[in-house]
Amino acid sequence: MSPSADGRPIFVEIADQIADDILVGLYAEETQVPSTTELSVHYRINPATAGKALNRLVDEGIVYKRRGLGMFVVTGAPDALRARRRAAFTDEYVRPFLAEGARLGLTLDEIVELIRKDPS
Amino acid sequence: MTVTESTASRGIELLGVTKSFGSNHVLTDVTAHLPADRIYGLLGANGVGKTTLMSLITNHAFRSSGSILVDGDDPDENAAVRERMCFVREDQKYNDAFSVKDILRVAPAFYPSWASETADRLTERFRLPLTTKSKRLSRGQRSALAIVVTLASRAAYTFLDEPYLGLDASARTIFYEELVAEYAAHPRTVLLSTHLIDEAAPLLEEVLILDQGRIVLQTDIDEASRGSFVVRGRESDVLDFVGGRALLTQRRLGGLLSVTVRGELNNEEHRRADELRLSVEPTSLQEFVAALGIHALDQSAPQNQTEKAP
Amino acid sequence: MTRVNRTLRLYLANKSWSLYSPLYILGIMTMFSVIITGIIGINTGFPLPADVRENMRYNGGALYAPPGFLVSVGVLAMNRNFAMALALGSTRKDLWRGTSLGFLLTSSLVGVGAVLALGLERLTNHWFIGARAFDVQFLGEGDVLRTFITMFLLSILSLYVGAFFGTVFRAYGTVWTAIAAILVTVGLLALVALAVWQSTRVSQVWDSLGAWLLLNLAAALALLAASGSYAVNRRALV
Repeated sequence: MSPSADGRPIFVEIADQIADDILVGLYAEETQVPSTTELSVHYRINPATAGKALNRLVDEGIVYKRRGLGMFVVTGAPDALRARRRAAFTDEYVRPFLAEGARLGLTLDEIVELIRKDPS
Repeated sequence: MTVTESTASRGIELLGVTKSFGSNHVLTDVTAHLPADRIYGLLGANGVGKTTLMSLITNHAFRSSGSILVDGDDPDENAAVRERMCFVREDQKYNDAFSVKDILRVAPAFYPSWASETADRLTERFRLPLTTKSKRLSRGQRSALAIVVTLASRAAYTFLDEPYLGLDASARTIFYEELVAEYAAHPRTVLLSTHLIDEAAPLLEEVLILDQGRIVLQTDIDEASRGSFVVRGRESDVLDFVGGRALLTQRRLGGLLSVTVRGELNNEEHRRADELRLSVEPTSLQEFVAALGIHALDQSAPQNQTEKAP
Repeated sequence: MTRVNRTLRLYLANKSWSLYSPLYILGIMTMFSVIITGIIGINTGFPLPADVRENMRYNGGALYAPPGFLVSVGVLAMNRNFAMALALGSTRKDLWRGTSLGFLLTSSLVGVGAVLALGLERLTNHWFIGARAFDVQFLGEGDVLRTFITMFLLSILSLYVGAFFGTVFRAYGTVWTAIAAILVTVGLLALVALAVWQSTRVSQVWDSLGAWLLLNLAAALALLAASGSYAVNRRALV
């Protein structure tokens, strides 16, 4: 794990990675997510950074701490994450996408056509 | 010195530390506080004094002035402080008569907390030849041996100066893995200097950037990773945009100008950059440290030439 | 004591280097003495003629053989082991103490080894052919105490002279090591020249005052080298 090209701090990267895993169901609701030590050894990152990543998820209401046991996924976390990501979808994907289209001189109709034709 | 004073602050305190050889100042007025049990990156160009600073803290050399306290005590010829340290140097000299086995047999005597299973595992993973005499080891094997001794020592103050010269990517990955695992299980204060900054950055909690014998920045890793950014675009627009900000480096390509700027941009500034059609890219920690170094070189060179004509 | 023990262990980490090598060297020296005596004997016939037997009493092999190697042990112990001891969190003072204990061990072993070899030499009637390596004039011809003390002092003097140069190198670098070496060499050469020039008088002094004067001198020199290495070591740098 190294700092990303977009300049996001490592702990944000790790938090997003865990959130992704929760979103796709790798960690189900009310199951345990990896500990600070496990994360730091797995990603070869400083334990303090791993701790920050988990704290970020706690602050976002995605995981919570069970005293003496570890961090667990909050019930409803996948839905909450999905809602949040949908809200950010326009800003993070649609707008840059349209901006690039505009630079290339594509009209909105042409772009829609391209999306329709895309086999995936 | 009272008991409370010596136990009050665990960690390393540097106050006005200076080291000079005649008129050559290797370190000048270095002041810093390094709380215990963190991994610190000691960064900067060659010859800025990283090794010297480690040598002074570990009393491998004597400072010219200033004070150094480790857990509240001066380390100079202080057995109680020194025995909590391990500093196998990048150019470590061993007794010619000693084999790797001899070295690994005697080192545990120096550390009550020596982790023999770590030493065995690492010796195995690095494929260290046990019967080879120390002077016949390759560059990479010397680095591997230093890593084995340093990590297995579990010394409260652990110094790693360019620990992986001659090690390939897989051996370096083993080092990162083992350092993090050892540190997570047994926290200690680690001072690590390296030129492979981006590779090592995730291991660090704090960085100290040295430049020409002075600490120019001490901050946590996230802050340091946002230390600078690159703005690229039409020269007049770029200059207009950066205004009075401190430029670390600048490069031209035709009518284009690319500058490295210290600090961060706020949302407002990002919008303005978009309007001016400037590209704004964050720099990696390595690029930031390199830019600081280039900046310092560029600053010092013309100054020296025009010293007599201000 | 633990701290001194660590650096002693460092000195003893490779015993064939720090402890046994001087014994091998004395063994080889004895072997050569026997072989040379054998060659002489083949020419003159056994038992050896009286003048050859008389010459044997002055075999100085035990005196010349160990110092060179022991000086190098002293140098490495305070130079390379210095770098290792400081890497592993030892202080200069503790390195010096532990190494000094090691020097005592090595020197005692050389002394004991010489005494045992002396016993064997006499038991075998000088290695069966009249060869002498330890039952010699300057070791007191069978004087166990003098043999031990002479070989002990010779060893510890060599070790500390090496330690002194090793620490001067660590503290002040190549130039001062060279200067110190030149000064000591010039001094020694002057002594040797004086001894050769006044050889009859030297042997007279030897006979009248006995070897103990020289042994006291060696002890004093060893003490001087030891104090010198201690003082310089306190400022030594990795």
